[in-house]
Amino acid sequence: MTTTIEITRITILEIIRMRIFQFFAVAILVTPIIALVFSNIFIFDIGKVRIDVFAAATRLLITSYILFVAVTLMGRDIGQKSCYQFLMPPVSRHAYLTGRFAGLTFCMLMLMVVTMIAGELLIALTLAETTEIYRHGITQGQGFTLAILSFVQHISLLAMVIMICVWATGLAEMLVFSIAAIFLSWTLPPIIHALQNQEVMQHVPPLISSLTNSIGYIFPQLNGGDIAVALAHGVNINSTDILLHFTEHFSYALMMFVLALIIFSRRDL
Amino acid sequence: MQRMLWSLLLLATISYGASRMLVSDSSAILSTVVQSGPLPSVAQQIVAGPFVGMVADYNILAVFTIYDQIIYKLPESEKQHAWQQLASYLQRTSDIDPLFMDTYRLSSGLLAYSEHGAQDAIAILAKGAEARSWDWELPFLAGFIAYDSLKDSEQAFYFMEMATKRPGVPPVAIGLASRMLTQQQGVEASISFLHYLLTTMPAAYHGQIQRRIRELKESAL
Amino acid sequence: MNQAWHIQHLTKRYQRDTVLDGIDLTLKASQITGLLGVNGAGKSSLFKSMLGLISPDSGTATLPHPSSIGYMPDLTHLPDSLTALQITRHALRIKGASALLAESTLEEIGLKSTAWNRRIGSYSKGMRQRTALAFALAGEPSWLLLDEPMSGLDAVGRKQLLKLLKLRHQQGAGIFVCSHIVPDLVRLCDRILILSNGKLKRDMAIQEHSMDEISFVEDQLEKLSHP
Repeated sequence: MTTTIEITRITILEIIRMRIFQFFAVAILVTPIIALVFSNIFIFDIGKVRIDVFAAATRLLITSYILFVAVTLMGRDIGQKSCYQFLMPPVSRHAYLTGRFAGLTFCMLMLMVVTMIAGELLIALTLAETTEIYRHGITQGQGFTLAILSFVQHISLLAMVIMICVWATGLAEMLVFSIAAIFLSWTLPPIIHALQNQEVMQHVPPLISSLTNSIGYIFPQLNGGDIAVALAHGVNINSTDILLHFTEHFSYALMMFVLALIIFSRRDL
Repeated sequence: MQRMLWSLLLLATISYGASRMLVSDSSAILSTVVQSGPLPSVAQQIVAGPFVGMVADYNILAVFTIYDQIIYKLPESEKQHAWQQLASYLQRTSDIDPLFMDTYRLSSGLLAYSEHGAQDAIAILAKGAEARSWDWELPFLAGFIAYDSLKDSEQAFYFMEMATKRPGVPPVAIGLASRMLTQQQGVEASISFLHYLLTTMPAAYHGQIQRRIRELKESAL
Repeated sequence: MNQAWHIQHLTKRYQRDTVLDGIDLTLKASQITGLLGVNGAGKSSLFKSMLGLISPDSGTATLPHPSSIGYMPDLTHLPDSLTALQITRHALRIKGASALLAESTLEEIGLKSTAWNRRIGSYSKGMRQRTALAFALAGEPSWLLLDEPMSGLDAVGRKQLLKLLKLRHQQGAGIFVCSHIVPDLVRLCDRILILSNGKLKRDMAIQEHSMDEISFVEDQLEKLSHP
């Protein structure tokens, strides 16, 4: 346990001193300004447009954090063998990977806290400077909800990427497979949703439909567009849905991480 | 000094090139938006991934662009096609983000008064009325367009009745609905409602509604 | 006294290439053991197998009881964003020692104090090497496995390192070191092993650490590596 905490600690220290991480944190703080500028082109639902831009930009930044910080860190650990330095008794492979995952998650949580602050600032500004017609349904606290729900999704994504990294060989493979997995987890939910439509189902062979559904079960529901859209319109997400969202993503993250531990403990480094 | 001069020359060249590119590119983009039309809704949803809201916003920007083209740039012969494209963008937006109010405001404020656009506007508003089940405004707008543009009292009654049953509907709206559905006071009530609509639209988009108010006033004389 | 390290019938293959071929060896903590071999002889693979970084196809390479180990790999990739002080403190905490010893550890390996709080990314090769050494030596581990520790160090640095390793050995640490620099290895070690094509070809005791012994070991290495 002590070694896991130590690895977590050094991982956090390592990441927060990276300029790219500091850039992501500053960029998240700047997204409200981008949202304000972009929303000027619109006429009515300005609050909604601002949250759309904010949700999209922060999602891109957090995903970039996973790709460019988490994947490159794991790439250096495994690809360039820098884990050799750390993987000595009393540090077990399990403790090492758990520490890395915990450190990466904690730093992502830091970015989420920045997201929360930036989101709440954007909402406060929108509420202060616009009338009801321009901010239909937007209330203070939605930035908090958006960040929390997005964070849970990104834990799933991080666990999936870690699993890919411990399985892949070299940074190029890790990046390519991680990008492919993220792309699939974004695009599969709408495809599956479309396949469930009666009209579409008539034109799709059952084999293709069941194949797509099966692939869909492998990836977490990381699309997140539905949540962002609902929050942008001020639609409250009920507590049961939130609970299910947490359960789904924590279970998925746990499953991926256990798989990562199994692979990591067996592979040659 | 020489370095500075070279740098200035380089900057001037870049700025000139960029300004030329902006002009040619923007017109190319505008014409593509009008000519090609939107992707089907399912494709938009797949391409959008988690950025559904942003894609809906982009569709609305495309609507603004097309409207601008219709009013200021396109010849008469191409306007009908452009209105159809505008309707398609609004339909796609209502499919991928059915809660987005801009779609319905633009459907009722622009599309409804275009040639053959009323039925499309009602269809879009009906979709919105279903998604925004707490909102009285959308069924009311659909009912108004059915009454005013299509002269379809049955459809108008259906939507207006739906609107009056929703929470928060103001007594003024109930009064307007009943006056509209009474033939004698219909025109006057319609003009009042269109004036209300003008207050919810920016000046740049008043053209279509003002034209309709003029038509109603002329018919009342 | 530390436990001996028993290696039995250790074999490792990468596809058809046998990099370790039935190695049998016992490393005693009472001796400083050196490992020689040309490039590709299997030295790093032997170290990695002993540390469990790669799994052997057959055989075992285990310490009978868990001990703390300081390992310095041949290629050192330390985190660029951290400083030598931070990484050494981390190594100390992991090994259950006080982080306050970081300064003295860095002083011991000869990294100048002005560099302690600089990012490792800005270090020269020699400075990185010294930091990696500090990481391995931190917390006084019971075994030290050092893969090319002299690489990148200047003559003074190498001399300091040899002195330091002898001191650590006197304090009770078992040392297994691999290097291409034969004279350094002969001056340091009590026993030298020569590995060629994955096989242990020679196991020699070093008694006088003299020039003659250096020449003898160099001859043996040349003879065994190019049959």
